[in-house]
Amino acid sequence: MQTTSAGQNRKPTIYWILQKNHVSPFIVDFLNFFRTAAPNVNLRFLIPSLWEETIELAKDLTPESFDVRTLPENTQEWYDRKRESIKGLKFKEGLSAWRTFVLDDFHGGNVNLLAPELPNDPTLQCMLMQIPVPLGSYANEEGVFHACMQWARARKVPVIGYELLPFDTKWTLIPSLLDGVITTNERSYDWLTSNAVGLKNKVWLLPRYESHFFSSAATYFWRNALGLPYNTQYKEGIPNHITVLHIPHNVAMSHEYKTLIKALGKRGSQLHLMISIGKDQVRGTHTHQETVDLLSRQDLAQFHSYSFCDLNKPANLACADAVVACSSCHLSDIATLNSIPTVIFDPDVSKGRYGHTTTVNTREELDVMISRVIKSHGKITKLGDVFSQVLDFTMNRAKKQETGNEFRL
Amino acid sequence: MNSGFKNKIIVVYIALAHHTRFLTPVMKRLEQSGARIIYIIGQGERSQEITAIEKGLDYVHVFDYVGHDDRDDVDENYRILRDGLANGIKRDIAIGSTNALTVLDKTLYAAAKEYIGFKNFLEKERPDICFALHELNRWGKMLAFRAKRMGIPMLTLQEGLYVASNYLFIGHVQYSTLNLVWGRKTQQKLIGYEAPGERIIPVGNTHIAQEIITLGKANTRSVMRREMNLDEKNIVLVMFSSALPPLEDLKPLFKGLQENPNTQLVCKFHPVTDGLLAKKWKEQIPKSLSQDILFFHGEKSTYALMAMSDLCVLTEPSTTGLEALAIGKPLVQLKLSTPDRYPYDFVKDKVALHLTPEELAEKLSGSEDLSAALPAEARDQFIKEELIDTTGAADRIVAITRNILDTISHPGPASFPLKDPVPPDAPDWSIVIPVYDTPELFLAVLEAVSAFSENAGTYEVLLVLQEEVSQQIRTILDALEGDITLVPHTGPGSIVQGLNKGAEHSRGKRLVFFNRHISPADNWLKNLGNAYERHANRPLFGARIITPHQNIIHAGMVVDANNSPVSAYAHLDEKFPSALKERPFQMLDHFLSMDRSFFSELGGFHSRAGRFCFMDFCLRANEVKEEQAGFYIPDVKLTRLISDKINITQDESIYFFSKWHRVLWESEGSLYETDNVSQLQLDSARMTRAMNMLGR
Repeated sequence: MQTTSAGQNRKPTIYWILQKNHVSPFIVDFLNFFRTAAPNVNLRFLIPSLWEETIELAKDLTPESFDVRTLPENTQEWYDRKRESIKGLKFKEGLSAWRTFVLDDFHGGNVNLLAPELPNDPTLQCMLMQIPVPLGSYANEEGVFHACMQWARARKVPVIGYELLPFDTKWTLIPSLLDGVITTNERSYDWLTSNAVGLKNKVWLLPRYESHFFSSAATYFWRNALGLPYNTQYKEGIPNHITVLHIPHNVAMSHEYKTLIKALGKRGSQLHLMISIGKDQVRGTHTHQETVDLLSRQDLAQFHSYSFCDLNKPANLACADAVVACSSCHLSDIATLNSIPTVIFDPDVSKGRYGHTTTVNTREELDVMISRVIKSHGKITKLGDVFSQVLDFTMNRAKKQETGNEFRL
Repeated sequence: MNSGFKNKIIVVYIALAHHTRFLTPVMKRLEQSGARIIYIIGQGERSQEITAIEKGLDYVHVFDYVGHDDRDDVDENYRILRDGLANGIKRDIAIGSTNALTVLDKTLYAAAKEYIGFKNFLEKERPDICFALHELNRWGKMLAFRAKRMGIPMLTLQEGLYVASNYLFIGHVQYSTLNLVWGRKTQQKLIGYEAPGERIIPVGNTHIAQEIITLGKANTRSVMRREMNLDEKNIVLVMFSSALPPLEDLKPLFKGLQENPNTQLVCKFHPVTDGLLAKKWKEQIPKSLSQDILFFHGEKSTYALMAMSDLCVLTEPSTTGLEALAIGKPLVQLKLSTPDRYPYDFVKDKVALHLTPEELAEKLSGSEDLSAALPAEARDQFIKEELIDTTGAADRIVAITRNILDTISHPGPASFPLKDPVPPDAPDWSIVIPVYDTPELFLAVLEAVSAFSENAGTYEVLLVLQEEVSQQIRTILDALEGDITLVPHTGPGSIVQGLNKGAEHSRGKRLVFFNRHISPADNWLKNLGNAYERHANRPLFGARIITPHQNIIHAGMVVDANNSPVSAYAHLDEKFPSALKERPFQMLDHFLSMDRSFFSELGGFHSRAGRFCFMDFCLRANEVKEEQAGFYIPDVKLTRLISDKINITQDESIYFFSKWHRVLWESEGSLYETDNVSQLQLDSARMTRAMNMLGR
């Protein structure tokens, strides 16, 4: 919290620049939810005024609009500035970059200066924007992105970009320009943090239940599950570092599931099991939950935690890092359709991988798959935690500036 | 078939059609002479393959020369560029405001891949020579750089009429061996900013020459007029530049010509203009004004349209203006409300009328002959300056290409065996001085030699009389005493033959060669002798040469950013500390001293080296010694008494820059770095010198 001269506490502000290609009813719902879930941050949604329809579509977010002015110029001074800004840059073996690019590819003395008329909020700590990509973004979106980035940079406000269109391409200039990059799928995360790209320290990967809202192909499954994963984590006390596996238990396969839970116990301390059960799946005097308890009590004790959920509520799958079942079933089908990794541990069918589903026959193969799920989970940071980290940095920056240290995210 | 280029492989980088048109006339001739031509294209947002396909040229794409094994190299280059550019964008908004960032990114990756591709391509195809229209875009630059690295000569031409500001031509002549431009005006424009003039040769425009012939043979004017049913009309052709003019400005012209039934208005859009933009612009013209105007974009050849017209009109200075003049059309440059983008001005040269659209419409409504207002002499002079000649350009380029290839394969021996052994009574030094018809300077040089050559052993002076000597010189010569030999030299004008002849008549153990009007200072010969003692393993010695105002002319030769030789610390004060260091240099100039035997071993100065003979000698010595043979001795100081311009012939340039293409690499920056001298210090020191000079 910042303190104003009047001594009042004021919330740190984040500008979230929304563009036409990102605004859909789903993202509006998600951002509305997110804003409610982050009461300590003043989240201001800003949309360029040229997109009136988008402003209307996002009205539940009470967005503010802003103009972007453009000013073309062509002078030798701009040519010189371009040259100076990359003066020492050379290809391997010595070819100078400015001599290669400035006149032709970089248009000599021509510039198109962009000035966004954004509010000057003294509590502004960070700006969030989608990142344009070489194949798929339009000139207007790029212009807004660049203008806002320049605006923020001039004010030393960190700019965090997020993935809307895929990042796992060979073109990585724009992610490298930003203070932080939020990815929405593991492929992009792995690519950007690889040695080949080298952006290791400033890339986050969102959990699936958040990242899907950043896709132009988000489905109702995720909309219906909005908020559920946070509640489950809170209710069940699942820390961020624990991987959640969904087990679609079936009383007809009690022994197979007992064997599965036993096998998973090897990595139990890193796992929370969400076991789906049917309220009507009573066998004799035992409910479904009692059956699981009775058969696997000792094995379940090896896990960080476990919980039961209703198998008739597929939205629960949204909480899971992966589904692990002893046979393909209704829930595994829903999971795989919504890109949730699914592992079928069944020694009686052929092993193989189809889309998001992998069938394994042995405990060893199962363990390899689970270790991958755990590894993937380790890459995840929730959006709220990204904000916390960024604000922590920016708040420290204020302290560091007092001592003459420059802020670096 | 002329087989002069049999088995020669020639690589040509092409991009857009307007590039290709200048190159293909040359390639056609080379191909007819037996050469194999390989057209190569690069990756661009606008496909360069389309040009090759439309022109019916066999081509290769540079990406086809990048394999999976090259991925690490490509990635490494991309990362270097990406991180450097990202830093640049963060430092200053300039580069980021150039283009969409995603386009910049695609450019960087493509460039990283092309950079490897051009290398692989040259290594695989091993061409004898490369061509590109220019090296101002990344493809021309990379190809030229890679070719130079491999010692393959590269020729560049001229893209169009250079109407833009001079700074936009920085690097026009950097890695290319020679740059063959249309005319002296372009040569001067490029030199005026930063280009090495000795590597720019005016040859004419390869394309327009052919067009003029074709238009004449095909009787295009009559054929087109008949075809378009415009036989009786006075045709006015308005040629738009890539930026469309403000429509409102042109309306008075459209309106005026609407009311003039004898005149037909034809408008031609620039080929680079976006087709959709052109269409939109056209649609904004009220129907009542546009109905009789003929519009063309790419449908008709601009030259055919020029040929059929009676008057050509420009909305901005452009190449088409010069072409219209070459084809023989009167020219008008419109005064429009938009600010001038280009400093070029046809009007100033009196080859175009400067009229508003309204004024033009009014003049066309009367019977005024507009061409009468444009003097034919001015036009002829203008064309001569811009184009050298409207014919023969392609043949001149072919001849230069031949000369370059011959120079590389058979540079010719520099064979000049001297009398050996040295006779017992030989002087210690033989000083060879070329004599020019400037009596007072000649006398000053002789007086200085006489006054300042003491305590260094015996010496003889050999005066090479290059031209017919005037009576004044003759009088001086008659009055001379001492060990002086006159060496009459009546051969070609080059200094080289004279110096070699001087050496031939010499008897000394060590030879000293002066360039023109070089006058020694106190103890120069003694200091030179001491240098021989101190650096016994060095075969060649150079001197500090200054102006009469104590500015440095020569303190060792380095290679500048354009890969042309220049003196280190030129124009600075003669006592500039870094210029006072004894050290080896790749080349020395203006003055050279060596043992008689070494001169003989290298065969003397090369007959084709001309003005470059001292530097050429050093480079040849480096090859023999496998190190930098030339040693700079600042204590040996001489003054160049006047800074008259020394003409460099085309052949001298072809010889020197073809032969040493591979070894002339920028070294000026690294010298300053070694000396810990910043650019700021240099600029400041030069400014101080300039101020001092003004204060004299």
